[in-house]
Amino acid sequence: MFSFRLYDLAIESEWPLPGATGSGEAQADVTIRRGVVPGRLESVRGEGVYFQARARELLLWLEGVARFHVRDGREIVVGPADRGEGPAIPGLLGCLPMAGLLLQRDLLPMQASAVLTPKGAVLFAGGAGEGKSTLAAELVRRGYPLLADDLAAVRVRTRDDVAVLPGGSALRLWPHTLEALSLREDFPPIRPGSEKRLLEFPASVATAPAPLVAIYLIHRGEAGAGPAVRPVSGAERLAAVLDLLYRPELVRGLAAGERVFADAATLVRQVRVSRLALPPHAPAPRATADRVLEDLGA
Amino acid sequence: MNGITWLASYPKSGNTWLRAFLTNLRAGAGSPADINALHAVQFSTRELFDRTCGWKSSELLPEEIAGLRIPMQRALAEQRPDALIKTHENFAGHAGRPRFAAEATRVALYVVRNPLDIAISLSHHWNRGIDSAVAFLNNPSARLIFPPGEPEFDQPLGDWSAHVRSWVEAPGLQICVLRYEDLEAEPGATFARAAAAAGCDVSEDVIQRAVWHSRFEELQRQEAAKGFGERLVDRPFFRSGRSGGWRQALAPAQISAIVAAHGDLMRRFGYLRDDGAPL
Repeated sequence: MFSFRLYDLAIESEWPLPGATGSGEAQADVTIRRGVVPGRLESVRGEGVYFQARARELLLWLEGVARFHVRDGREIVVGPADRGEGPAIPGLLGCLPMAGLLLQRDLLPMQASAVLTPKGAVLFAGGAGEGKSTLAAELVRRGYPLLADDLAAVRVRTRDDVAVLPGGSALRLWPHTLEALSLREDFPPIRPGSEKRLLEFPASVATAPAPLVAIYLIHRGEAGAGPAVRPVSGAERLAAVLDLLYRPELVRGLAAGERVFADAATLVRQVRVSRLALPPHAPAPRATADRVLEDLGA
Repeated sequence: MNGITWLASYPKSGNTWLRAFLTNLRAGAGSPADINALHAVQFSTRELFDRTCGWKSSELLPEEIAGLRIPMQRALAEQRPDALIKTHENFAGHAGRPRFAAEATRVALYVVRNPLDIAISLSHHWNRGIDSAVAFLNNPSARLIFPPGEPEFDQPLGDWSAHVRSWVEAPGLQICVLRYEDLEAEPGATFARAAAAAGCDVSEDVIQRAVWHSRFEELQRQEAAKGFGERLVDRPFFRSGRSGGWRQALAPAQISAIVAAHGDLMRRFGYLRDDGAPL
């Protein structure tokens, strides 16, 4: 068994999770183990092409690879497929199953990368391939500790206590991003056969929850234009934050909608939300990081 | 009947124009819709895959992503019963595996355009020479290639004829074929046919207004005023919109190369005379 801390939780796991740091404690908050996973859940509140869900219980599957049973915020049981896709499991555990578990623990799982700046924690959100991890990597290179890559856990206690929980020291980057960042080392793939690479930054990682101060919503801007920041205001802010949830259908299926809505409403009263337009097909991480730091006043 | 309405075409054939029309038609507003908020998601985006299939495509291997294409279309048909989805992909499957789910499809609106004009438009869109565009149109292995990690997946096209045939001859597919040249010459009647096929039961006035709001000059005006997020290079996406530009722009050898490769289909769609001369 592996023992580590991730998202401020003591976890015991049969698989190592990329970027998980530290050692666990005698009493684990969460156990991840191989076991028998039910074929179906009965009386579900939500289901889709990849999941079934009911209050505090979630069944996830990826055909031919594995099934995951996430229960009560305390346990993930993994049923690998017969053909032995074991190497895929650590990476998969870190996305949907972990997002489901975080929802069950009354946290907000956001599709975002996060770094810690002198002003506080900053989230970079956006669609697949828009540049979240690239921007986080550039800031980590400049010495800003990494808080999360791709799945950020936000804890909302009160309006004055909205925090990002440390999600490990790993970034997953594509080859063209490594090139844009001038990182020429031979990094390992995130799983055998994948072109995406795993980079660990154990020396530059945040280990404690950090207050969330800003969210940047990355989107494609105009070809030829530089990075541009535009504040988001009013009801658009709440809609934008709800859109970042990983994933809205799981929130409904797990009967967490009211709590999540209330947390998101509290969050947007405290946190600055901006749109960050990046030029398409031309990653410019340095200019983008400069623009963000200027906007933050960091 | 519910299901996906595909807006399908070879690239630079009028797909975005059709999207603009359908967006204006659905909005039914008194002013033109924003060209940067057109309806119709792009099927090839990782974001649509990730949000529909749950798992992040960046964590999956290509064969796992391919295995989820058909379940993804069924899920989209269920989740978004009036979905408009844009695609440039070839309809034909590969290695016995279908690429599109006919059972999840309501109808395909397929726009076909004279490949001689496509050559100019592709050349402009990619900022490459016309010879390169002609070679692309004639390449049976042509794909829209995106490096791993880009927001879109690679998209197989095949050569122009193979692309057109894959859609218009697909067995069991409910399809409405629209010629770009008819959208230009007879916009009212041709867009009305598209609206009817897409299940929009609206008056002629509403159709005429949507046609007016999506006329090419309006698309150009908006792009000049506020840009267009889908252009690839720093030059206008909405270039001229006119048919027949090939007569001035293409060299005889370039015309011959396209006609030699696609003569049968060009004749079928009225782009060649019976004696083989381009129209």
